[in-house]
Amino acid sequence: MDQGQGAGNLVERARQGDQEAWAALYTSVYARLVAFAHRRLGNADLARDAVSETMARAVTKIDAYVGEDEGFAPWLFGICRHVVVDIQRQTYRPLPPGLLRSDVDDPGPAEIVLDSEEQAQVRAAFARLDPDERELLELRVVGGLSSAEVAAALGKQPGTIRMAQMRALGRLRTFLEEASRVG
Amino acid sequence: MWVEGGDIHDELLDQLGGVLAPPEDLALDPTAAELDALAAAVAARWPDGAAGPSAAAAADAPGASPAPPESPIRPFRSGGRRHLRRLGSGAWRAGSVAAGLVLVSASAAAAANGGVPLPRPVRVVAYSVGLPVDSPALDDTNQHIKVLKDAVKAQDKPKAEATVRRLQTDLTKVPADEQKEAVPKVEAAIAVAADKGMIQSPAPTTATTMPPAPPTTATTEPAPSTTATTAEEKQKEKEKPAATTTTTEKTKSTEPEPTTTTTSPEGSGNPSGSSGDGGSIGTDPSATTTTTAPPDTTTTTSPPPEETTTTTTAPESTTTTTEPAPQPQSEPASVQANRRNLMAQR
Repeated sequence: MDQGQGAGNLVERARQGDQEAWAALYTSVYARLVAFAHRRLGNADLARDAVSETMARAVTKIDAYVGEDEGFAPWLFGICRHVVVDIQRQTYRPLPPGLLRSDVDDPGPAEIVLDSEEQAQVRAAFARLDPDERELLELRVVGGLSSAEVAAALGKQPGTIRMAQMRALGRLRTFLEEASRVG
Repeated sequence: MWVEGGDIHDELLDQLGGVLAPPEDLALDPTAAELDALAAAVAARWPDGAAGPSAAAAADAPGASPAPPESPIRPFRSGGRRHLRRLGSGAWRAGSVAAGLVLVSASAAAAANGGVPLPRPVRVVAYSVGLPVDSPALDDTNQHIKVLKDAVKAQDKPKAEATVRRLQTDLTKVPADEQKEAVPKVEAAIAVAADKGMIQSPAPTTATTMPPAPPTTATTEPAPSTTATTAEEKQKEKEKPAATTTTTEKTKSTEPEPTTTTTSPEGSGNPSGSSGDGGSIGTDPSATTTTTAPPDTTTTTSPPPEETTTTTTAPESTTTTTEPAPQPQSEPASVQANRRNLMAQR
């Protein structure tokens, strides 16, 4: 959150319907939300739609939000997660079996060619994680949220998130080790 | 791949950030259209603009830009249209029902005033809901009077005799309040037919039974009408020597309803049981007609009369009650009463 806009005040103004406060909140979190949505949806247009819908829902549900500016971005990410799931349901089209990818995070041929060997290994290892682990790390890395903010976005305790993150990174490291041995 | 030194998890996170980074062409700032959409959503959420002390203070603060004008973009989360649609749906529904009622009432009133003849189903429904239309039985009677007149004009004796019998059947179904209108017409038509020699002698037109009252009044006053009609019948029967009428009053003091059993020698006691649809019209002069017994009444059958003047075509004795379906005489009175109650409830 952009502290220069008046920390602790933007959300309160937004609750009163202040257009400028809403624009400031939107701008401050837009890039991270779009990156996260793009990561989940794999499409720039859908990602932008998801962020717009996230803000629309935030405007509608702002009265339900309890907190200050610090917790607003995690709250938005929590909304965005549901919006992304809704879009995934709406845009899901069954593909022929030959074209089905085992996982949305599997690297495609172009990505493999363009990536360095090390990045390819990390991408492949990341694809082997569980979906919950991937989402947690995406919120952490792509969304730029702290462990506490990820906990707020996912509705869990910060300690639980820290432990889950450690397990996910540990497994990721294991997968990378396996890949380096094979390579 | 080994990560050595420092917090290996932090380094992994950094490495993961490089891999999962969004493409460079992905926009990092909202476009003007997206900001307009947000402004429209905010304007829809707070139609009166920024409210509250904090917003007012923020708006008055130095350097604060004025609130942007309301976006022309229609908010896509507005519930107003949904309310309007729901309201419109209800209004349309109520309006349609009202228009239908007005239409039916107007057409029924026109028909009642002699304007347009109603189809029988419409008449049945209109009469059932209490609209001011003639009962279906009276309508049948009027139609059969026309048929009788036509038969007399055409010198069609069999048809005239059959129509006379059908008229007598119709009269048994005409409600009491309409019999004053129907009986003179039928008597006049039969008298004309008798004068022309189409039938042997004018048949008595006294209705021997009371048809079920209209549904709107059947549950309220079924007994008085029956009793009154029975008295009228007795009065009329005394005036008509051609008909032999035997009336049995209620058998016990505990039975509230009188039972009328009538035997007529000249075809008056052989209703077809149908609503004038040309059903069984064979007449057996010696047959007896048993009227429908009200609840808790006893139905008796009088012996056949000696005088028979109507030629019969059906060998079997035809016994018919005022119920829609002919009931055997052996049917218990309680069953008949239940059936009558069911009919009245409709």
